[in-house]
Amino acid sequence: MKGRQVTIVFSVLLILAAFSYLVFLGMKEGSMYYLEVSELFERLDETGHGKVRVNGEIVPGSVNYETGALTLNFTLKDKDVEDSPRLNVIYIGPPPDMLEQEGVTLVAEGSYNMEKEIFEAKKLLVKCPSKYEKKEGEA
Amino acid sequence: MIDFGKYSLLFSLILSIFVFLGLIYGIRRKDARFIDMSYRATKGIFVFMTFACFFLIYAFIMDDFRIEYVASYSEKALPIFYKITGLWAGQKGSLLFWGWLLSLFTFITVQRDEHKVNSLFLPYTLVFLNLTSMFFLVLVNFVTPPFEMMTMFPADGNGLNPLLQNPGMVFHPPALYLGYVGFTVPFAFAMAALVMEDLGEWWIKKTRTWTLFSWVFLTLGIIFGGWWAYMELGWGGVWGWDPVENSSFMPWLTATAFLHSVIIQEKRRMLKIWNVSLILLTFSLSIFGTFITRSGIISSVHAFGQSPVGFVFLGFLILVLAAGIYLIWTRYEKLKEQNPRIEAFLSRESSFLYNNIILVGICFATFWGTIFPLISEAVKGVKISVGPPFFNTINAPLFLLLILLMGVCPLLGWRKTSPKGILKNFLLPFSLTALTLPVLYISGIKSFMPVFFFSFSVFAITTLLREFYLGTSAGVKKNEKGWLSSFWTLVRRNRRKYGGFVIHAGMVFIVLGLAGYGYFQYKEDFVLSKGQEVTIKNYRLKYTDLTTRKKWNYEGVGSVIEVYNSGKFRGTLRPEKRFYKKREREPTTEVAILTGMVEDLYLILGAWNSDGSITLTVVINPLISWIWVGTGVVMFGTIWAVLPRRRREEEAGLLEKDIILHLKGVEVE
Repeated sequence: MKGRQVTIVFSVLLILAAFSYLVFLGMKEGSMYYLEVSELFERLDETGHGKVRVNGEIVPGSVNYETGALTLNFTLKDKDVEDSPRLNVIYIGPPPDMLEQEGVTLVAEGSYNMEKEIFEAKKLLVKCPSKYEKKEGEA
Repeated sequence: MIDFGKYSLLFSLILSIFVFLGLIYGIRRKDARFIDMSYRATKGIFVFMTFACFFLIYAFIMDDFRIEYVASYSEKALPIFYKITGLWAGQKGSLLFWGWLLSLFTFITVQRDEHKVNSLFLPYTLVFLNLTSMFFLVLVNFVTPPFEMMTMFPADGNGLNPLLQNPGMVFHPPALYLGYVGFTVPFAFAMAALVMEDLGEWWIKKTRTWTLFSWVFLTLGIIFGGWWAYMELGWGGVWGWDPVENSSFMPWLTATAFLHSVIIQEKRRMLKIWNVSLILLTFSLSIFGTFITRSGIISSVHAFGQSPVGFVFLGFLILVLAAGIYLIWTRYEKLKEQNPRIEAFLSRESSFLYNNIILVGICFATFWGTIFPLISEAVKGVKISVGPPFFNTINAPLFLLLILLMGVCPLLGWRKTSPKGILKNFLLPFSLTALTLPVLYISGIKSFMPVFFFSFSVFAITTLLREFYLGTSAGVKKNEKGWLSSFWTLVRRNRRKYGGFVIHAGMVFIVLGLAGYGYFQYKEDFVLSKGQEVTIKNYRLKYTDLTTRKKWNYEGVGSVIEVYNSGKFRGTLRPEKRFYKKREREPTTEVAILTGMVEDLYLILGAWNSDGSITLTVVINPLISWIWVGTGVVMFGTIWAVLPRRRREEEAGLLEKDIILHLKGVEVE
């Protein structure tokens, strides 16, 4: 029985170790800061260079899409805060649905370019005003 | 009509209180009259809940916009199909529908066993079912009343969200609810077994069909959700590891583990505590899912209307967990001794155990990733979210192991497998799998994970086919009948086993589809002017025209694209943007798909200019259709497994199984 228990403890440890390693790898691959617009500016020193997710509301009228260049530009601000800092975002690709709807919030994934002072988004996730249920959009 | 609806709900709640009191009193005093009264009242709840649902649907059909819920999710011009299914279009109706399903399932549970001699468990089971019902009845009466009136009566309703006007979305919620609610029944039986301190196999046998039924609907619900996302959202994928998706995936994982581990208890009387824990976990996770999706506590792209309902669910969840853990804790010592041990590391029961460890592992990883933003905010003061790469990094290898196990398991015998037997059983599937490697290499698949996914799938399918072959050939030898009739006898007499194998094959197809599009999706954006052509891989696309069309409640602008594959004309696709009348400022994307078993060509119209030029996103999704094919196979397998069999077949089946085991060189108990 002794030997059996040793085997069991050993295999449990082995499984746990393998699993923790996977979790560690996954965290390294997939975890990113999730920030509001103002938080991004506050934390530019630590997060300025890496990939982050920024959550914000689209400033009405700021959306501009150039078909020929496939370039989308818009400005984000903190949700429901009028005097929050503004973040200019550039995204290469077609605009997702519902972008120009009033009060639309969006999560942009990418990194902030310090020199050009613009957020270069690789991925956009549109969230819709909460008065409708279950909406989803991704680009 | 509105008052009828309201009173039906109120009566149901009052009845459920009666049921509760009657049961407790009846159990205490051992008085069958009170228990019988409770049974009858349970049926009454079902009747009144049915009335309530009927009244709400009637209000939808009659365009009764005095009701806030109807006004929010319907409009006069909405097709009748979407009006009827408006019952579950929003939160209030969904909870009513949920409560109705629960009352129906409770009704069936009572009806099946109330007159049987051996139904001592029924009052206990009903206590737990009824408590859950009560929770939902309190919700629909006081927290989210579906018959709430507006102060101002609008002339027309808000209309249903255009994204929800899709068959995939219509069937996605009820399928999920059927799964969630269905698991309430095995949960209630397990809790009753704990209270009665009798964790024998009876509750598992009683709930076998419920478990499979709920599992297949949960599976369907999840796949419908993915299908809807693929057809309607226009980002080219089916799954994005969003918290809302995860919240339906987690109970599915523990339910799948449960489905397997109960077989071990039935065959070998093991894992009793583990099984009740798994069903408790499954039920809790489905409540937890509702909590995180409705409370808005974790940010998701699904913006549900945020409401206090989420936190009511949290309270319920804490109660359920506390009661469940208390019951398991107090019964633990007594039950532990009854558990026989697993004898060998390489046996069929141990492979079930590994399957359980992996499934729970995937569930834990998914849980961790889902709630990590909360943890990091609490600990570090800043939200850190984990995206799809996190989930894929952890879960892909674990799923790979599952596929491997799926192939290995049938090759192992119960209790112990001799090394010689293992070698003999493994030889053929193993060499076939080894053969796939050069084939994959030549066809250009060289990266690590996909190669494993494809070759392990071949391995799993081979061993499954081998099972069918061995069983049939044993029948041929024994009965001296033809192959076809032997095969038929085999699969009919061992429905559960071979149904299970068919489900496995379906799961392999689904995983193949996921791996195909997950690892080899190709995506490119183009700007095209009228008459222009582009070539992508072996497709040639020609943009010919931009057209408008009018439908009953929307206008669509679409680009006409001619598709040629390897020089041959394959058809015309028309991806479009729709402007629904109620929401003209938010166009929705309607993708166009050329479906094939090898790959899907998926076109998204991004934008257009006044000169007629368009932005077109072209996506090529290899093997994605296998997800839908696999789902069909899973459904077929499940139906096959749960179809009742005649007693004569059952006896014959037992005999046959012994013969097969014997032929495999496995000792028979």
